[in-house]
Amino acid sequence: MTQLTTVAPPEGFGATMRRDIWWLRPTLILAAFATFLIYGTICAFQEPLYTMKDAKGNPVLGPYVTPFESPNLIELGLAPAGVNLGPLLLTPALLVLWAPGGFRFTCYFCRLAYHRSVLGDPPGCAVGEWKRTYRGEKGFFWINNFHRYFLYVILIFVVFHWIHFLLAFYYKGHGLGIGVGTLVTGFDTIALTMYVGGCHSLRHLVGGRQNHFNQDSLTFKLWNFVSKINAHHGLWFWLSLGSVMLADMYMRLLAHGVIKDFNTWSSF
Amino acid sequence: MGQATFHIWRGDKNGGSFQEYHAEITTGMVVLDAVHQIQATQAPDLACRWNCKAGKCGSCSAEINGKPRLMCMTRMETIPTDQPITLQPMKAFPKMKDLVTDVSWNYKVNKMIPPLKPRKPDFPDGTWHMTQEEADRIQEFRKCIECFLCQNTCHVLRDHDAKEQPMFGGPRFMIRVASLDMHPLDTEDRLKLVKDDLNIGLCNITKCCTEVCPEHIRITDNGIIPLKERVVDEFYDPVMWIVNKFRGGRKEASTRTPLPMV
Amino acid sequence: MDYTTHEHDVLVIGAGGAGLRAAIEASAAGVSVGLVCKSLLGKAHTVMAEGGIAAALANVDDRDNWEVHFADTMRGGQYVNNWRMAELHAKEAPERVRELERWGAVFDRTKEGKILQRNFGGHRYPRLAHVGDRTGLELIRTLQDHGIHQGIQVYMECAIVRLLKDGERVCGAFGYYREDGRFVLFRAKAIVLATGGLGKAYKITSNSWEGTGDGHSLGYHAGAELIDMEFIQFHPTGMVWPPSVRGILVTEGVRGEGGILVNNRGERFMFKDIPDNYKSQTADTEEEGWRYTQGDKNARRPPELLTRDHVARCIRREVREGRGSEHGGVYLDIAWIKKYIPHAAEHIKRKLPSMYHQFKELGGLDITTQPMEVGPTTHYVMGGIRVHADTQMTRVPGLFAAGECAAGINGANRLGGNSLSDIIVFGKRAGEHAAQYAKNASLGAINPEQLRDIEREVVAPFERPVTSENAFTIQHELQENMQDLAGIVRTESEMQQMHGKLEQFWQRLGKVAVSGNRWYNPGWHTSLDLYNLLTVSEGIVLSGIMRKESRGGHYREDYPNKSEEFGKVNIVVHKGSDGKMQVRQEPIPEMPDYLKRVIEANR
Repeated sequence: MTQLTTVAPPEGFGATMRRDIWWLRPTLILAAFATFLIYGTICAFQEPLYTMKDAKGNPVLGPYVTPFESPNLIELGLAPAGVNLGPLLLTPALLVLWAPGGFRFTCYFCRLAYHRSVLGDPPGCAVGEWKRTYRGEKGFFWINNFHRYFLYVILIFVVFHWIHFLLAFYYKGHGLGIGVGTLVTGFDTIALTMYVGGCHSLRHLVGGRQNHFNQDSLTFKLWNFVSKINAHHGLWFWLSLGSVMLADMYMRLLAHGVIKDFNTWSSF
Repeated sequence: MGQATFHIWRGDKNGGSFQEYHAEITTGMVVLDAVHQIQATQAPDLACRWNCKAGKCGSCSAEINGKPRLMCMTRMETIPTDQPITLQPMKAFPKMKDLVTDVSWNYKVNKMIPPLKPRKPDFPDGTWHMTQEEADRIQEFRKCIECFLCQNTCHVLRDHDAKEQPMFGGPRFMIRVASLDMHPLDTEDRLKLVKDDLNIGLCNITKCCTEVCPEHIRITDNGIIPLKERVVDEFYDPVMWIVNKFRGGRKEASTRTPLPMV
Repeated sequence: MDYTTHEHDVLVIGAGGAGLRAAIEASAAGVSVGLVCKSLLGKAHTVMAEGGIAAALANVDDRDNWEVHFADTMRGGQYVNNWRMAELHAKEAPERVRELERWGAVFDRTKEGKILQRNFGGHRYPRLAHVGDRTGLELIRTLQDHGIHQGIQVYMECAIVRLLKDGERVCGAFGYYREDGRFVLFRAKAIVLATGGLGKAYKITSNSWEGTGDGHSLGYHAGAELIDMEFIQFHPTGMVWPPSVRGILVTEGVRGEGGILVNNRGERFMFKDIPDNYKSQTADTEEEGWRYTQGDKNARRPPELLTRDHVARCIRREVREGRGSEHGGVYLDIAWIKKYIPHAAEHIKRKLPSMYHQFKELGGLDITTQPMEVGPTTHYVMGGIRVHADTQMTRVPGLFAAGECAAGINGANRLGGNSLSDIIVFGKRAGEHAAQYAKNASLGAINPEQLRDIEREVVAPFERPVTSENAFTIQHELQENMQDLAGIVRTESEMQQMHGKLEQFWQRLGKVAVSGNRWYNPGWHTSLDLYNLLTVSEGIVLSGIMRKESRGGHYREDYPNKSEEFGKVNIVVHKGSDGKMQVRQEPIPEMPDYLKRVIEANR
């Protein structure tokens, strides 16, 4: 038996006796968040893609719509176009992004991600954190209790995504067809649907709030269905976050003529 | 299979240090076997709690190489033996001696939770109708073996020591309340208790409890989050509050067949 | 000397199912109750019970009733049971189970939404109310969560070393807190022993460290009688590999769900040896046995579901005759059911979740695709403190016993599932009658001289030179010897040899030394447990020598058959006035006619 010099386990932020690379995951998540926020902020203040026309006066995106501009409140006549926000114009993206932003911010999976990666509350399991007053979701994060209201809004968005997906098969004046952009939109729409479809609040509202179930009831079937998707909520969170960014990037590159869309409509 | 070196925390509430021991490792051996071997050969007064040695009683919780685990369910084959293996008592609870901690606080929290108050029996022999689907949901929580690893890993208890004023009930008791609140026979309302006394709001869904649960109970997804949603129903969502009032109270509403989906 | 004193009307020692149930009942009767447990509350050995609670609820098969359950229990116990206890047990078990549901237990359900019951060895109809394969946990958690609101004072991690008497009656208990070694005196008008079993007297056992026969020993030294101590149940299916998990229980539920026993030649050897009194109830073909496990009322049970004593001996025979598995057991195969049902893997995981988990984590084996290796493990003691069937009081006034540490209901062999019902039926009775007794009694006088003697004895190991005996070594050797000489197959000469060794162990115990201080010191705790282990081992050996026949859990190679003469007696041990253990035979009282008729009707 030997007395060792280590007297007490380490204390303080990041202190742990764990030997695995626990910090890798929070770091990657932090990087992912940062990338998306920077990208999203820049794009939100860019010239809207739906107004851009090519030399022939056709919309540069053809039948496609970027997810950042869906639903387009300006086009729907629900918001005035061209309102000045100081030096900038009010873009459809700005009008839209608060909703998915709020939905994601209050999302139960996302809370895990930012509490661990951004705020270090805690940075990892059995890993020390900053010593400071902690109020959890009783302080500022109390707003997370309103996740379900964002859910109601985002459900409308899902409908619009599907509309845009279906419309991506039909190029006005050129008829039915399909392009890479259609697939991109389709993937994004499915990812968003699965992400929203596995929402914890949705799971509660469709049946989780009940205590009575039987195999044949609609409530049970719905609850069971949502629960199955919910089991992979984190995966769909990342897939849909990634797909929305990639889809927008694709559309943006397309709009600026950097790439070309492969499709069945010869004229575009 | 050779030897392994252990650095085991020895001491009591006044402090202590890591001390080095060696154990012979054989096939299938778990960390608790090594501790027993050390007790029998090198340190007969090394304190450690254990009972069933089969992952069913939840007594031998400790931190192995910094990870909160049951010693009886951690096979030596899963831990690298090329460097010393550290064994510590659970950090979130007051130390008693060596690997034993004072977990009595948990028993106090449990006592705050009102027991099941069943509705009137459905059948003359005093029994009830309950479907397997209803049972499944709460049986998951009732698998809990009270090893308190979730309590130990929860940063609200571990780092912020929220055991009094404000007190956080901890994951173990969140799922205990969930198992009662989701019980198809129950008529008692515990949401105010969950919100104001057990302070469910202090949980920020970082899910470490789920990660360490040796029974693989999905504590956060199936227990805490649904409870949070029920608290929202009652305290933050005027629409649902009115719907439930209209139907004669939340608990009443939840025990009746659901309204058709509109 | 330094100790704290607590006073209660009723003191319950042991907080497993029986102890908790007794405490709840006593408390409900309005007396003050103290509950002492060696571990934390809710960790008792009851959590290890897997299969279910036997109660004739008749939810799955409406032909079931208390009479069939009674007859099954008597047949399983080979008719040396206390028939009155078996009768009360069969009659009261259903109400005790319904009561658990009232208190929050969530049993598995039938399609009609009632409590589901499963098949088990020796039970004619599906009778075991269960929760997957963790019924014991459900039971203890239910009682615990109900009990904490009943005003019971719980003393956790506290071990009792001696009972105290005032004249003939019991008046208190003296012990220590494991945490810091502080001494504690409990003064009580009535005491209920509910300390469980003594499996730790054997090397291969499913019991935890707590199973050291404390209650048996406390009761014996306080003047109570022990009966049937020769009947030890070796559960046929314990894990055998890897070595560190040897003995851990594999629930009978595996066989109840259709699992089969196979030797290394792939034979279902249980079909080869079916005892005469079970022939009419046992399946003729593999296919019939399978239908039985799936609830076919016209099928008869497969031979794997014969009583535990028989199955354990058949396994031992296969291993001895060279037909065993790689690591000295036989194969238990549940994966084979894929022959009959689709999605077998999912089905197994749902029905036997903790078995799946246990083998996966501890044995690195997937039971949905591979057979398990199993062999007999010391599981339960049928014998124990002799009690009055209706009140559970011992012959010492004010001293009660319930659960595994009491004896009578199980006779020579316990049926699976009868122990969980036993502990709640007789736990309740013990609590009820202890409270009644306490209401008509006053606190007895404590003799300070006696306390000083006990204390001196208890701390003596600290004062001996550290170079003398080590408690862990003695315990280890005792377990090895008991396993070899008084285990599953016994002979006169081996048991005599064991008796001689026990004398040496007693002497060595007098020389045990421990290092360190009284703060949570496992070495010291083990030295104190040894006193109890040696007492019960002596009881087992002496009773075993006297019963010159084979019956239930007691199998003698030199007397391999049942004897009619021994079928009419119980073996009783008590502490003689000279301090030595006395053994005698006592005739079993004649069974009343109405019970005889029940047995005849259910032959």
